[in-house]
Amino acid sequence: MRWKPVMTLVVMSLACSHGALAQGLSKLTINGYSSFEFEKQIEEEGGGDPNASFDADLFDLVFNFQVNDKIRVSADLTWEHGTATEDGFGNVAVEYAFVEYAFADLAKVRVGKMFTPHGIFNEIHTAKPAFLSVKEPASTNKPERIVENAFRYFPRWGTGVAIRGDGVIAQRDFSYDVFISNGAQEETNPFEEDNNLAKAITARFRFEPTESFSIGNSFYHDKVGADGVEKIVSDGLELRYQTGTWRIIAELAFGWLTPEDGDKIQQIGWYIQPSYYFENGLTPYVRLERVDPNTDIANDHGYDLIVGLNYEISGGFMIKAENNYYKGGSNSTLAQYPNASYNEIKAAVVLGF
Amino acid sequence: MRVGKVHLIAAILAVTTLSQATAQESVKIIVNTEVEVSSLSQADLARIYLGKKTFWESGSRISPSLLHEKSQLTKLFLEESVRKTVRQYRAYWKRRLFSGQGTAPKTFASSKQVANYVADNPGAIGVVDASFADNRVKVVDLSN
Repeated sequence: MRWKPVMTLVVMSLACSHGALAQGLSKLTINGYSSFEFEKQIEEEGGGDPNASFDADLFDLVFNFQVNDKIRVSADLTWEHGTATEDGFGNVAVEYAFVEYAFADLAKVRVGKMFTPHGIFNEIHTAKPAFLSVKEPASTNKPERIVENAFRYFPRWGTGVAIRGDGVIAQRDFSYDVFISNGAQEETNPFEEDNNLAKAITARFRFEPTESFSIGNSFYHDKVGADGVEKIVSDGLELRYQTGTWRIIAELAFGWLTPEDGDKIQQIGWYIQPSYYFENGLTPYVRLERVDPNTDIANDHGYDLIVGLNYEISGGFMIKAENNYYKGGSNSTLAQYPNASYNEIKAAVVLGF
Repeated sequence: MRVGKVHLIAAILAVTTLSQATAQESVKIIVNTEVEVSSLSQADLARIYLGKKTFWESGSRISPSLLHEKSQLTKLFLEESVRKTVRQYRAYWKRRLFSGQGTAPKTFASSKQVANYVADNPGAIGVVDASFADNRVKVVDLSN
């Protein structure tokens, strides 16, 4: 008999904790994506992969926890290239992990590690189910993949404070981001310490003049003062146009790198990518990219012409195949290869869930 | 023979009329009874389902829901009210989700389930079949 109150208490506790757990779980969403890739350089010489390699490219889990009406926690954890830490292979990383407090749609403050809000692709980053091609555009994100001596316009991640929001001007949508972070650095952990001369500032503004057309401008400023770099400044323009079946995206990026000893270098990169959506899930696409790593040097530029096909078999599951034709000027790093060019086939099987 | 032709023409007209039904005629927008809103503009409705408007004027969070993407109702709603095909809408939310901008509206298998979700969650809004009725939720009018 005397066990009855204890048992009742235990049952009630379990019921309460189960309720709390269920309530907590209802606020949590877990998504993710994976990508399996294949790359093969056609010619014997070139800057690609001559070995016809398979790549367990990445497996990411994306968590969102809506703590209450105002507070959200979001994180993306990645395991890249078949991570095996015992052998020193691959990469495990926190792509982003931040807490967001929403005062209103027009003002949401974030703190933590996050993608630098510059251009179209950096925040999409390596989420392969979220774009057509096998890799994100190199000319505005990883320009050294086209010509080796190019520099990054901005660090891909940052730790700091951001404010962002969505609003309406003259019945048209706009959004903005302002991000203050530790900036580009290599000597210390930039997500823990700041060895730069000043905080890096990133800003982006997007406007949608029509439902099918959007334009945007991004800006990055960083007084580095380390690693031989005094300052990096970049400015990016973006454009998106979509009809029922056609989609065009394009970006133009200017970068100015001031070395600690030497003259300022101006770099320009751009791409344009038209694509056409068929009802059956097939989407052919073409992307032309160009990088000029130093506008004061003639013929040091490089191109990448991509012709590809994306087939979305079912929601979030897609196959991609493309050929990348790289061609450089006579003073470019691509000039080391015959005809200053090479081709590389890339393919991927990706899933977003 | 003539009667048969008339029936055929009538049937074709009926099917054509049905397929030309607009989203406003085919869907009903419902909200939780605690939501202090009686009408919504088409633009605000689109912004809610695109994740650009996440708060009601009262300050409470909007929790949008709709039928799964294979539903004809959802297809019609997205094309006419959100101005995106199902595929474009899915791609749009993938970009937002994986870039840390939040999660897509919840989806359900039936109008009844959407109504259950809306009834149980303050701030919730849902898209259901126009013929669906449930007195636990409030129907909002749409304006242009």
